[in-house]
Amino acid sequence: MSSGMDRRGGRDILEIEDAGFSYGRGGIQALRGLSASFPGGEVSAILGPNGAGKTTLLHLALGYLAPSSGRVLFEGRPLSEYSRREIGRSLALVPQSERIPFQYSVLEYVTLGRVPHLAALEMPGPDDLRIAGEAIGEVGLSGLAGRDVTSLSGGERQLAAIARAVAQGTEVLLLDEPMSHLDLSNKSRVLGILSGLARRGTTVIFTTHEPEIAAAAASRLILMREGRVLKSGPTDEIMTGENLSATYGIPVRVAKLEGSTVALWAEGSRAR
Amino acid sequence: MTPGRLASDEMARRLVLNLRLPRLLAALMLGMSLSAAGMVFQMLFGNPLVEPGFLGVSQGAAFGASLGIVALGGSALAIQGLAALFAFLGLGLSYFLARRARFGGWVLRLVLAGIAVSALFSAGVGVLKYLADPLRQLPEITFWLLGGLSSATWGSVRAIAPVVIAGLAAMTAMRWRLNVLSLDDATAFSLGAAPALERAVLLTAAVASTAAVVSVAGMVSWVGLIVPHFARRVFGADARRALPAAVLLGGLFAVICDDIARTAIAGEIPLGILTSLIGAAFFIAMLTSRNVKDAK
Repeated sequence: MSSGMDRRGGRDILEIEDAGFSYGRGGIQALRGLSASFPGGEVSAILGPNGAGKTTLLHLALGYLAPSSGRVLFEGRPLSEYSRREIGRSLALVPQSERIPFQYSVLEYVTLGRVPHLAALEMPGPDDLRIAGEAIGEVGLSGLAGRDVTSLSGGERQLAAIARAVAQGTEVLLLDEPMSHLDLSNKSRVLGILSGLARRGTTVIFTTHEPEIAAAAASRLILMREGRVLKSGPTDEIMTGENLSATYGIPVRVAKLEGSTVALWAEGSRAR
Repeated sequence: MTPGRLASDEMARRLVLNLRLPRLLAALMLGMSLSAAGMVFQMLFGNPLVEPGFLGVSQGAAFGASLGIVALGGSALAIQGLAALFAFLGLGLSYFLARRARFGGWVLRLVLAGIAVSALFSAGVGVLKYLADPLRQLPEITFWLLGGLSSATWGSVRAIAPVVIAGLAAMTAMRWRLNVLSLDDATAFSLGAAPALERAVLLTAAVASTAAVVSVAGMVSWVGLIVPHFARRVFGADARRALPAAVLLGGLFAVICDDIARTAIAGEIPLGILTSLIGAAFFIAMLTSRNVKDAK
């Protein structure tokens, strides 16, 4: 066990208490009375169907959205009491698909992760460039540091976004559907990077709609449906056919196959 | 003209110091401000096709200047003051309208509000043109709308220099933040930025310096659109380099265009015509060049 994990010892670093949220006045209620907690130094997966409110929950955990009821605590203190820069140093976000309107190089793009560590008008210095370079190396993009980030493949762009979050050096890393557009080899790369970060003490929280991804990457699981948490706890206990069936509203069975967890759902395909 | 002649010839000295020099400085400030503001607008809206005249700023200034000519007798102070005032009013109206709009994302709402406000002011300019004295006031409005620096004096340079310098300083100082603000809102937030506040500061700096130079030079289009593109193409997208490059290139471009406008024919070619002509030709060349790979 790394010292990072011992230090945090599974203490909850981020807690969401009875949070409600709706978009716009009289809009759809995205979250209702949602409570969830995320132990420090572990990988938590938020699993649920499309439209369950996973991204909203992530934005609430970041402090980007404020809950209309309830509260969000980071290290025991309401997130709303933290300054923007404190948030930037504590929580990093890797959005689902980021619009990058201009052709920044990978190094320039990853260096933006250093923003919360600099004064308002300060430019990045040699140390920041070194940290950004190391982060690029960590996700395996060293050869592409000078390339235009908009010319990268989807997988490489996702890795660049993760590198930026690594350069940010935060305690918590929030990722929105980090693997949904990736092929198998890139999925396994991202999986490896995330578990590496967790071993060094980073708290990793990601959303996904694929049970296999959640089972492979996360030690903690939160099942969401229609803006509520259905079940949460250790992945091994929560990942059952009964729970997944309730989450997705269709019959799902869970099986172990050579050590991996697989979710079986397509009964119709047996007709073949 | 040689330095020797400048020293001996009183007339030449006056010409250079009182006519050419303020005009040169005005051209420099015009090009620098429009280019910097163009870069800021494009990055804040994450859209390489917007320019400083966007959001009702240009049409607001045009309406203000026309109003100064028709209603207040057309003194330099009235034209420049009202142009600057209505430029800001244009921005304010667009912003207010965008906040009230009930659909679409923030950028879309701003774009639509800018179009609506521009159309409103442009209709207002039409009314003023219709009301204007066709012999005295109409030519003045037309000339203002075409843009030019023939009316630039030390007085106008002194009047706009503080605003231009402050605006340019603010935009240059915040240029690295611009990269962050060009990304999605949630991403900018997660990087510790205060997107709403920082955008407001940068927009104010961009609009203030644009309004200042436009009040003297009239409508000079394309500089704010084309120069930032060129700067990015040559120096890369990172505003740490691209913004200062755009400021320098923009100043140079405006000075050269103004020299051509002044000397190419016996009369004066309106500067706005020249920048549009050169800018559009350049834009077409850039669009059809092989290595275009701008924002998807």
